[in-house]
Amino acid sequence: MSNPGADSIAFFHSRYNIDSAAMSSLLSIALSRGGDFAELFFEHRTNSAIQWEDQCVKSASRNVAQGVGIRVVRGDAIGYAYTESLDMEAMRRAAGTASRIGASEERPAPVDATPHLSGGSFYSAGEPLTGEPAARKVALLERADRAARAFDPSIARLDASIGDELKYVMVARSDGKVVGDIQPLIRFNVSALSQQGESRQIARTGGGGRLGIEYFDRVTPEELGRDAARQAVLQQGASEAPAGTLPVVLAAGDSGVLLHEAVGHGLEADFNRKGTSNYSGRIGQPVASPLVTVIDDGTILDSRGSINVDDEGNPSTRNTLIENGMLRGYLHDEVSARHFGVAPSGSGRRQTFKDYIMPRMTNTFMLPGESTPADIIRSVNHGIYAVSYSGGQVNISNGDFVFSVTEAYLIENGRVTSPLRNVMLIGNGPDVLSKVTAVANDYQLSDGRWTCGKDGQSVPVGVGMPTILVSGITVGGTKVG
Amino acid sequence: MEGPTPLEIARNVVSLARRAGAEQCDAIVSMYTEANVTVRLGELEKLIEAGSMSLGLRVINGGRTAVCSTSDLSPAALERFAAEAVDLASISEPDEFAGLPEPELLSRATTAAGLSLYDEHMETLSTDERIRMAKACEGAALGFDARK
Repeated sequence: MSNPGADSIAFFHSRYNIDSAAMSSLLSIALSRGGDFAELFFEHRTNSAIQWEDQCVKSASRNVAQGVGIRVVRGDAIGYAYTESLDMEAMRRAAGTASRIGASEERPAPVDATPHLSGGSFYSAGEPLTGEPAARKVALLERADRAARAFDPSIARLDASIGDELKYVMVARSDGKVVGDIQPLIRFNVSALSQQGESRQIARTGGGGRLGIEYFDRVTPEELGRDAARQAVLQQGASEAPAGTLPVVLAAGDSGVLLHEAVGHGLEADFNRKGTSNYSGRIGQPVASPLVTVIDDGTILDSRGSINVDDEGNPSTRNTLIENGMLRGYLHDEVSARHFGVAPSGSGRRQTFKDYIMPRMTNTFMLPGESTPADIIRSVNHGIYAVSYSGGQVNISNGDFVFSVTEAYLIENGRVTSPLRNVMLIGNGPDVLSKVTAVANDYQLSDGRWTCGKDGQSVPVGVGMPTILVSGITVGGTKVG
Repeated sequence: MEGPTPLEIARNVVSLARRAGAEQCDAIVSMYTEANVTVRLGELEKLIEAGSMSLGLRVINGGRTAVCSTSDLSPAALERFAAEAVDLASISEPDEFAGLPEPELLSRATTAAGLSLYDEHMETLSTDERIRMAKACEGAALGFDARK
């Protein structure tokens, strides 16, 4: 698929008879009562999922959704309407409804919608997984199960799931630009339970991205199954985590989720436009240690968080948010870009055609530094080494966050020693970033399993990190003293 | 409302699924309208109005289950959809506990009336009245205390 944009535009034309003339007409109706700009967002989405439990397929599902969302923006105000029916009559009604955010008398505004067909894609997917026969997907689940159980006799239960999505989108804007995209997405999750006597420990792994079945040549079901089993067994012998403020080494890869929560949301421009983020008004100021450079980049090949175009039709880009500790910019949608007088950053997203646009992250990561992971660990006398996470949440008005760490170890006298369980990291985003005292050269992108939730809308995202040392984070554990 | 009612669509899909080989199946059709007004600092910020209809079909054959949904309700698409759901059921393992409820366990009530879940007055509210209410509510909160 070297030109998903053109293919998607052709899809909507042949299947629903939506051509440039139809789109121009709808946009004119949308702007007939005035407004700064308008857009039509067409979507056709197929989702499949297969759940594996007790060594068999527990359930299988397939969902098809289609529709158009029509948005009119006037200053900071939005008029929005959507419909599942892609016939002209229903779409005209929706465009009329959205136009009511406008203030002026009815006055049709002419729009000339023209497809923009630039080739190239950040997804190298061959055939989408959505088209594969179910039996091939089931075979992958079986392989994860076999490998996890073979790893250790204590593995008493293995749940797994495989999900895929194929989304055709087309955006027609009132500036005349029409773009499209075909977005594949796959996700494979494994959960292993280890039972030893009365003790039951569960661990989860997963991965995926904007790929087809070839993903499983790069990351096999056996690797994912074995890793879930390994972590579950590790928890069996784990000690309770100490409590208190300690130096924490965040391992490369998954630790990026901390960056996403602690800093990323605060840098979304809608919060800053409204003055509700703790980064509001701080462009050009130091917000982190000079070792810290944070990027949000939607152009990483095959990554879960990547997109060719955002849901407003702007191309995906690489955005430098924090550079050597200084705040450089926010993530913008069209509304905030106009408000701040900057170019859009390709960050305008919506979960489905039914939803309005908000600035969202794509792949968020920190750039590597000069240290090595070994040197960083050696430098810690008594601290924590955090490797895997199950997720967290943040208060964007002040940057306070909480994280659940699912694989962690004690560091004693510069060596990684016993595994720990029930480790929580509690802190404040800007505070943690100002306490980054070492950044290693081993950058890794976390495998694709993260979903970001904001204001009721979910988007798939990617995170990445090199190994870093934070001089002090509050660790919530149960072992005091 | 033009076209078939949700109940007629659901009945049709069940018979399509049976014809495609479903032993047990149930279909749910949901139709909703949405109206959403957001006011910020005394100004209208968001105005959303929409309608939506979608269908879910569950097929259980010999204890094997598949659940599918679609919002493409054209007749040709529904026939294909029912056949795909029956096909998908065949890859699950049989679950002896899967199945539709016994008829005597089904609810007799056909409406939500009496549950006090819905204020019908909402249906008669104009967009302008909704905007007025939102502004009045925000204004009362902002005016409550000099510290904003």
